[in-house]
Amino acid sequence: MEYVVMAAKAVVVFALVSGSMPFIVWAERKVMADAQARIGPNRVGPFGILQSFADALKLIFKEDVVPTGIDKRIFYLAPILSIIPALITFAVVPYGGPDLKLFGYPVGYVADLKDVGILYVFAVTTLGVYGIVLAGWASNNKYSLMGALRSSAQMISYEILLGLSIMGVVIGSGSLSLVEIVQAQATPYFGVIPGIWLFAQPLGFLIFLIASLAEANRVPFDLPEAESELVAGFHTEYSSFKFAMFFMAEYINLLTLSGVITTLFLGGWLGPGVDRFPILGVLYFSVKTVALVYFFIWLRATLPRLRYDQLMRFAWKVMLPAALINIFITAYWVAR
Amino acid sequence: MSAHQLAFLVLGVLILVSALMVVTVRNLVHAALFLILCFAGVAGLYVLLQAEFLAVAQVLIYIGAITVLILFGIMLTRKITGGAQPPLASHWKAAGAGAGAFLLLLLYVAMTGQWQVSDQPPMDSTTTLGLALVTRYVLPFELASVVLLAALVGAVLLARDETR
Amino acid sequence: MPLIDIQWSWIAPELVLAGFALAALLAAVIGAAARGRGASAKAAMGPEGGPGLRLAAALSMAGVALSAILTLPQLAAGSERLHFWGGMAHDPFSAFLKVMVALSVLVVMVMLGGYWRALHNRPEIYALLALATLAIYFMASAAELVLLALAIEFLSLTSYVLVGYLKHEPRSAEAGLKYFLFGALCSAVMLYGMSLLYGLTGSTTLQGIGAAISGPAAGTRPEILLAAILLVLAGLGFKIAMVPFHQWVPDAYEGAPTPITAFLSVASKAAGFAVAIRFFAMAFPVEEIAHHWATIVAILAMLTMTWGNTVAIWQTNMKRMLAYSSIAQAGYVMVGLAALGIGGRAVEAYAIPGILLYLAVYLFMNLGAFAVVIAVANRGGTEEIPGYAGLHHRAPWLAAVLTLFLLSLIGIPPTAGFVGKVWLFLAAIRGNSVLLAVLAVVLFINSVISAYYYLGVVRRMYLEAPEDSTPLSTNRPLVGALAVCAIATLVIGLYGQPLFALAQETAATSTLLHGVTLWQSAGR
Repeated sequence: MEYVVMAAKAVVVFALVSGSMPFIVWAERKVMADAQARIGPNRVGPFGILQSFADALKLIFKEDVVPTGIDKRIFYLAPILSIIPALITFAVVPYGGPDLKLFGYPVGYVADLKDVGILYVFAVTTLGVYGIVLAGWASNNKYSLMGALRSSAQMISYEILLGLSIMGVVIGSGSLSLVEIVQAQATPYFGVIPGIWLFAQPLGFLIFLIASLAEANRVPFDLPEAESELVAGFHTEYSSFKFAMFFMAEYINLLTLSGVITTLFLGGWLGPGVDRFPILGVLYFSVKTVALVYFFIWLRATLPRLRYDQLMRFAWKVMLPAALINIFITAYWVAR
Repeated sequence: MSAHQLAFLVLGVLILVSALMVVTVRNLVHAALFLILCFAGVAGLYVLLQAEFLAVAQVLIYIGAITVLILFGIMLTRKITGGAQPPLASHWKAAGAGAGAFLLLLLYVAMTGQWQVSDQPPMDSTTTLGLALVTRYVLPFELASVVLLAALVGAVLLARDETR
Repeated sequence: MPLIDIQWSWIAPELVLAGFALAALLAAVIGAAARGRGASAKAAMGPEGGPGLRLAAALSMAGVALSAILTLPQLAAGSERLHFWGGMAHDPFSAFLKVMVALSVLVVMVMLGGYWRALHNRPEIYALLALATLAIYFMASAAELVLLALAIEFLSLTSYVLVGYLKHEPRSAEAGLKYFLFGALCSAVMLYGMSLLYGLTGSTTLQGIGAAISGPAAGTRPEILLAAILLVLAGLGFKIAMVPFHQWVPDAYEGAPTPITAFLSVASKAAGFAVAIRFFAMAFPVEEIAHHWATIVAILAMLTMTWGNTVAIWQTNMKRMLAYSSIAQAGYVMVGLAALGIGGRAVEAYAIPGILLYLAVYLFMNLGAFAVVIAVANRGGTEEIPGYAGLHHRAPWLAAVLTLFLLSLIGIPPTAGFVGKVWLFLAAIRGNSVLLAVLAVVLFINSVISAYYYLGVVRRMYLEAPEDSTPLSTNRPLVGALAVCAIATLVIGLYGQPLFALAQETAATSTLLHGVTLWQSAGR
């Protein structure tokens, strides 16, 4: 029975996450348009909200162009490899507390891996790089390959930062479990300020935020697909539904990372009244996550793209030392 | 057969077959992909042994970092990405005989050895490992960092282009 | 309550060495930065090397010397300690080897100063040598499989880089690659053996394994244990250049920068033997097991000696010849190891002291021989044996000291090599075993075979006319290294008693290693 509940939770969460993707795309286009003093999609449905569905239909019915001289198996495998990690990360992100129960079963999260928790998130995130690298290689196109190589170097560099920057949170919470990390944020500072890690770990938060931008290949770190330099980067040769899968993976990644940041630094499901009405937690979690997604879109409208060498130098010479300093300060503060 | 045994059997076959493919396929990129599969199987074995931390570390390090770098190396070396490398070197018969003898030896040892079995229940592997690393194994742990540094310096030394 | 009870002063020599080695690395970086600015570019590329090189060399040598001095108190009787949950053994045995290795590394570093190839713009070689020394320190003391494997891997990694250091020369690059591939395979096999040992005994400390074998795991069949031991022996055999794990030796020795070759043949080999003795003595203090592994070691010793000496005859390159000679010499030392396992208490006074003494003697004579090779090859000279023709006319002193070293390598009195070989010979004879007697005979025959090719070089130097009779000049660092080696070789040969007394005292007070000679009855 336990497994049935878990499977049911998984199906619901995956459906919700994938289902929210068209709306994020729509939101991105609307916000971008707003920032650039345009109107954005406004023809399909009210406020153009159905535009993404129309686009999806269009993509599916387009001709699926497969270039010659490619490694076919890997060419087909790459989009799948890129979307799976984006989806399964959400398995450990708690969107509601352990008190949120349905028929006596906790439904606040799909699974709580007490021993590994956040490490699972990183392990799965690292898999995302394969989709991009293999797509670039299998396309037999030099722009694709260059995009793929750039992205793998970038993702490996920033994965290290992703890991190091949350060490402060892990040390402070004394646990790797995402549920326990959220619970550790329940006690307010000085009785009034919310006890979220954002305030105790500002440096860790900043580094994690920047590293997740790079990990999700978002502006200003979207070098793997820098249009002005690389045509379209690793997915240059992809069309139709396979392209749609890369597209989906990118936005689901955005959502997932926002969820993870919410959990680690913004108190996850916590909020006023959540101990009496656990269902409120889902609302709080969603609001925080959506706010973060909005923030990411806002960044895209604001910032220019970095140059490749700037990106790597920034990771290794600025962020890495900063992350290490953050760990030492936190360790000292905890051991004191 | 219990579910546990079945899972072990499936993982075992997966590991063996993918390992065999790694050394026999002609395309190096495909070999690297089979290597990932093999590592994933090993991670699965760790899960069966209730060593979740090791399983995640296996995925994080071997699949997420090492194999990516292998792929990176293959792709940057234009000459060998093309595919048709002869998978077997010229001495493969002698090497095969040696490997076979080694396999038989290990099988004999594995079947007849009296292995020490822990009678303690499975425990929180992350905490236990962490404590072991800063107490009993603190010296190897610290030495490992020096070893890695030396390897890093050495690799840069050998690979750096000094003609500039 | 503190979580751990550790005093870092336990490993003070290691910490000091590590600190100085890392400082030397930093000095190298500073030197590179100075070069990059171009201000002192010319000075840095000159024959004297830049400030980075001199600083790195000074720091590395200071670190090695200081750590050796800090190790000296551990030579005293009664200083024996087993620290870090049985992981690190600090006893006179390890201290003897550490001081010896430190001494050889210092000589190697001096030799580097007189080496003719353009190493001067890459000061990292000194730092890497210091790090390799650190690895050997840990190997000499490690009494636990995890630390042991890590230390061996540490030495291997630094050695690969050192061997391939002249990366623009195809021979050096190829040597580094071959060494790496072979070493990786041997390490893998060794780790397999270690994991089997852990599975069989449930312990990773050598003491724990020893206790388990004579206790809870006493029922384990000897052949199972032996399989595990053999796998571990593959890794150790790689380090000491034992047949059949010797294939890397000629190529690596020939391709590596000559001072590094000297380091590999002396320090790396001594480290391998240190591990072998500690491993066998602490983990397998049971008669039946000791008898088995010692028999295998004895057979391998015969093969190693004979193969090394026979193939050495056909070599035309001096470094290759010395490489095969170094394989053969490993075989001689293995005689002592085999005697230890088979003879037990009867050879207690000879086996370990004999090995220590021989390694110490070998240090001086082999380093000296390689120093002459550098001196002859300097300034575009040759490493081929025909190039040694008439060396007597071109550089009489070089010819004289090389003759001394070669005579010592054969084991002819009154050189140090004779003293060293006598004790190994005695260890084999006193063991009261047919196998050991055969081993002694093989040892003797091999010394005779080796005389043929060593004396061949001597004959060329004195009896043949040189093709080019311009005198050879030697630089100051090499003269210093040669003087130390030659004097030591002569003095130990004429008056070796104090050194042997020290070796005997060392072995007698290192009670951790007495497992073999105090065989326990396993209750089988």
